[in-house]
Amino acid sequence: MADDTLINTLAGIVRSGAPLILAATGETFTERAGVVNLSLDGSLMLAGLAGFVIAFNTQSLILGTAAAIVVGATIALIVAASSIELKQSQVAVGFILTLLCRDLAIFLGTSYRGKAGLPAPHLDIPLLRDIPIAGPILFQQDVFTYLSFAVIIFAWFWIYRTRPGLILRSVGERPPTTFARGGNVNRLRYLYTALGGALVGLAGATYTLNIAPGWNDSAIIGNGWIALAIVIFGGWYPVRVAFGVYLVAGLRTLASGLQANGIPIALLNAIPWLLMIVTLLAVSGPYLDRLLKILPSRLHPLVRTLLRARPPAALGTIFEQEGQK
Amino acid sequence: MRVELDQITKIFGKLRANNAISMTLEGGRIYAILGENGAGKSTLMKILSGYQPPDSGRILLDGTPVSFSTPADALNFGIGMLHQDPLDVPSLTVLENFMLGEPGGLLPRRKAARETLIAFAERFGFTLRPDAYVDGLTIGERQQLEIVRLLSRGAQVLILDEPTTGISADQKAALFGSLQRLAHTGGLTVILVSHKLEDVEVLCDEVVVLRQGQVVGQVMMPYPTDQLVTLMFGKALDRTPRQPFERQAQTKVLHVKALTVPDSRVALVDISLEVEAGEVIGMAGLDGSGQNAFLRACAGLQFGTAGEIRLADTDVTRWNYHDRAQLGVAYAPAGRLEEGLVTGLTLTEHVALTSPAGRRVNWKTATQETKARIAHYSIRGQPDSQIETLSGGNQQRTLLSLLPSTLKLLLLENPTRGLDVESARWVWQQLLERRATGTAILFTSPDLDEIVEYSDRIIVFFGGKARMLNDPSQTSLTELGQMIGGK
Amino acid sequence: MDVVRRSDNRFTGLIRLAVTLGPALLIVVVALALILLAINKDPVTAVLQFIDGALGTDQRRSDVLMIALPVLLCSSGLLLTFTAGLWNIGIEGQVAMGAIFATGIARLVTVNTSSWLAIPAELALAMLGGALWALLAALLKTRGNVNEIFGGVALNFIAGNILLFLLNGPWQAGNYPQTAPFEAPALLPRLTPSLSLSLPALAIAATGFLAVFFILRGTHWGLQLRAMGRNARSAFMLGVRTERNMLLSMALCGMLAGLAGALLVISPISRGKLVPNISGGLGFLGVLVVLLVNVLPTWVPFVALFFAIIPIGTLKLQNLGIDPSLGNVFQSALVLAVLLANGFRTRLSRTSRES
Repeated sequence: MADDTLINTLAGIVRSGAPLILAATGETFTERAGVVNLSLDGSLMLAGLAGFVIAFNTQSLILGTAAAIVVGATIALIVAASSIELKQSQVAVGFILTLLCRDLAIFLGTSYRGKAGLPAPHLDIPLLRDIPIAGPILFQQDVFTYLSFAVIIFAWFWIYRTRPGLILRSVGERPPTTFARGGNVNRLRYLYTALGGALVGLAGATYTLNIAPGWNDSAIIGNGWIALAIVIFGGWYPVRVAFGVYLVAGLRTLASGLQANGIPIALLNAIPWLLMIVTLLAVSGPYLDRLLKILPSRLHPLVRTLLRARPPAALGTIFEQEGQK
Repeated sequence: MRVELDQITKIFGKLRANNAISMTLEGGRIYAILGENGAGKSTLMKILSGYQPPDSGRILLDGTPVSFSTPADALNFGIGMLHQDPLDVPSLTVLENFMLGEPGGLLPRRKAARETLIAFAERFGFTLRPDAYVDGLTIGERQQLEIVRLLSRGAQVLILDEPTTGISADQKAALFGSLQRLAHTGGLTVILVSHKLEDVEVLCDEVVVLRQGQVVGQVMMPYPTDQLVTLMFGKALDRTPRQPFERQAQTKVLHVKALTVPDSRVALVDISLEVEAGEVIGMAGLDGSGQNAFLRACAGLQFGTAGEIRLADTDVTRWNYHDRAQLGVAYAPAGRLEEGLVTGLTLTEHVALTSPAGRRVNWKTATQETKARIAHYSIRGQPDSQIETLSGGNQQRTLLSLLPSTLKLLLLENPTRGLDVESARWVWQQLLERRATGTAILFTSPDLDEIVEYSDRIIVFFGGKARMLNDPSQTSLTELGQMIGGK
Repeated sequence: MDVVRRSDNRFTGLIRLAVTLGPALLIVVVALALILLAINKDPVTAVLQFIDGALGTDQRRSDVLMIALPVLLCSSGLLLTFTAGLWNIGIEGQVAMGAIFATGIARLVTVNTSSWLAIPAELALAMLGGALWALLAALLKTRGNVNEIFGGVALNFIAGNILLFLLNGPWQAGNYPQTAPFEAPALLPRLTPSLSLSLPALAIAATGFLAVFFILRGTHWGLQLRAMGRNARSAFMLGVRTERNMLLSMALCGMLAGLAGALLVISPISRGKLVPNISGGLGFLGVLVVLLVNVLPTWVPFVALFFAIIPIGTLKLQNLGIDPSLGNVFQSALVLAVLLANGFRTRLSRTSRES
């Protein structure tokens, strides 16, 4: 029985990590292309609301999910266009969009509060479901969770194993090189920002259609910022990002266990944020270099890959092609 | 491949950067495009390599008119450009950089690409490790990678922009050797853009000189140097002989004892140096050999793990940059708009910012002071001009004008970066005037010529170690080039 | 990351504001009207109700002014940090900390305590609380290399949870998560019993704003902040002690935010006690104000006042069945529209120059 509890807990962690995986991987694509979409906390909410409203009114999960994806991609495109076409700061636009989308979701969602959501789809994968331990954790899940697995694998494969992925890695680092090698920097930035936003939208739908079907803004708020921080913690590597997500999801599960033991909920709710500060300190602060100094040099590449977070060099900058008016 | 430029014209605002330029460059030959800053050579090369379309005029390759809108397009026509700072991606490996932009399907053919890379590199005697990261390579190695890549993509015309800046004598010899082979036996058209006459003389078969956007001469090499200079500038330039430095033994300005500085690339180990008032010390070395780390350590921008730094009689080993500045140390970085001047601020605001004034700013006196400095340093600009509207030369003048008038130690990182010969001479004239007041100068430069010309002593950095040359007049450029390469 | 572009010239700044604000306002109003029509509400009635709700009576006008004061304090503080190139998103937490620290004193005040003792002590503690919380974010940036946006967001949530912990635990009075109402000497005095207007509150906010205005316009330190905001590296090289200035500007901003937090618990328009989510987006509103005026100090009081009309006016909309959160939508949509209009304007002038 103890084993079953553990397996259920792990399956729960994997399930609750799905939206963060989708959002953080989406943002990883966007930032790899050199664009910061800071609006995640708001776009998750607005996309989640759109997903729920459409699904509720059409009774179709697929239409709802599609609506959420469209909303997420549209918001992301606003960030990209105001940077590329209007030369406005991505941080400023992203931050304002965070507030705007959040407020818009709260305003438009007032009449949908407390409405019953659609039943979340559950889908076991034949054969794989019967693998001991891994089966119940990974393969007796729902479509959104499977999508989160697929997105991790796709992101890793795309970025590290394909030609367009190689181009993507250059866009965020040194756009003039991309241009010289035949890549259209701004078109690529639009493309990956939209892709990232679409995944954020899908993440929003995961909250309102799957994790806790229904519209409840307070269940989403804050997660956008966590996803953004996980991108940094993950050092812009998709697999490390996924690891960060499951770490956070695991700690949250642990914290809700502690709540049962009488520790004030407010203090427990502060833990993820404390953790965010500590991990950001660990990956970007001077402490990593001090750690490297005491470790044998054989371990350096490993520790760097696991811990160092070096942002794409051209992140947040505007690219102007020479001679192109 | 024969390249014909026919009446190429490019206008920026009022400036005719290229004014009806025509020339014919034959395959199998090495050409130099010479000209001072602003002569139009980089605009012309950008047009030829697809970065900018010309306003009017034609490009013909083997007699066929072509037009291309991007550098990638130009490479498909066989024109490849090697930039001074090679256009690669530092965070990727050599192989990944080699494959980047290669046409093909979704999945790259790594194995084939690796074989091509190794084969091409071997053919030119380059050693490129496919799995090394580019950010750990020297400029010379990065150039080699770009050349190999351009050739493997079928480049028939190779344009090289200032390729010998920051590479060692060995790397230069290897580069020139392969360029000669490529042109004379491989039939490539090689175009060297440079202002270094000695490189042009060693390498090129023919020279095209540009001045004020026009071709003022196309001559066969060899050709008398002073006549080339006259062509470039429209007049002969004379060198003012410089005052030899007289040692005064008593006044030590800087004393570095057994300094060790960790750096991301090479650590400086156990460096000692004594500098006297009024002395000029040039620091030579390949990019990242430790000379800039040393300069920054003297300025207090970087700290050592062992050793001692004394200014006159004060131990300043643990002092930071701003505290050392109080003792008369100043540092002028190479990147003027990146780490020297503030974009968006006016000249007056720069003067006010650096004047040790009280709490309030008196804009009237600040404007007067700015006018005085504009006159003294002959800066082309107004007190309320924003700094980024000034030309590079005038920005450098502004930077010098912001340095305190009395200094004990002046640390300069590549003080003439991007300046033409005349501006560079003016800068050195200003700097050498400071010697009279007892200012000691330490400077780095990738230009060995500059180091030999202006230094009383030279320090050569290689792999974090320093070697002192007490009498620069006894050292030839070739020897110095070999030393920075570790010989 | 670059902070928004800004103009240093007052006159062009004014024209820029007018040229962009007009069309932006129009677009946002039309968009919101369309949203209202879509949910079957009459936009014209809504606008009339809104104006009446905000400015219809002396009480309401006084309320608007009093709401504007903490917004003005936050925006003033943010003028310093934005000028220095810092995105002090942690200002929400700094407001909350100001309120918490002020409450720490206010809940000890009895009917017999002198206001002359209580109120200065509350304000001083509020400034301390805000400054400490701001310094934490600043130190994380300067010493730990943690981006101030992420540090600030995390500290906001932590401050919110500390507040909840206090209100559900040690400071809880009654069944709800809130403190007991403070005694009269702990509160700022009203001018007249019927109006919320309070002269000391007005004086505090005006002093805060004018101090910042003077620092940015006339002092060497203000020039240093401007230089480092545009290029911290160059400013450092030119002799500006950037780390110290970052800490100082953050601390000053935190102090002003702390004062705003104090006003939220002791000014006449406050509830006179500490409640959850005390700052309620006030700090972010300050960010919006400063972004809207493109970091030009002169316009901050006017925009703060304009933004204060919105929460008061939208309260009346509840009668029409419109959720007051529409006001928040209006504010952020307006700032976004102004930013984009700014971009369009420069783009147009750039293309017209080229042709």
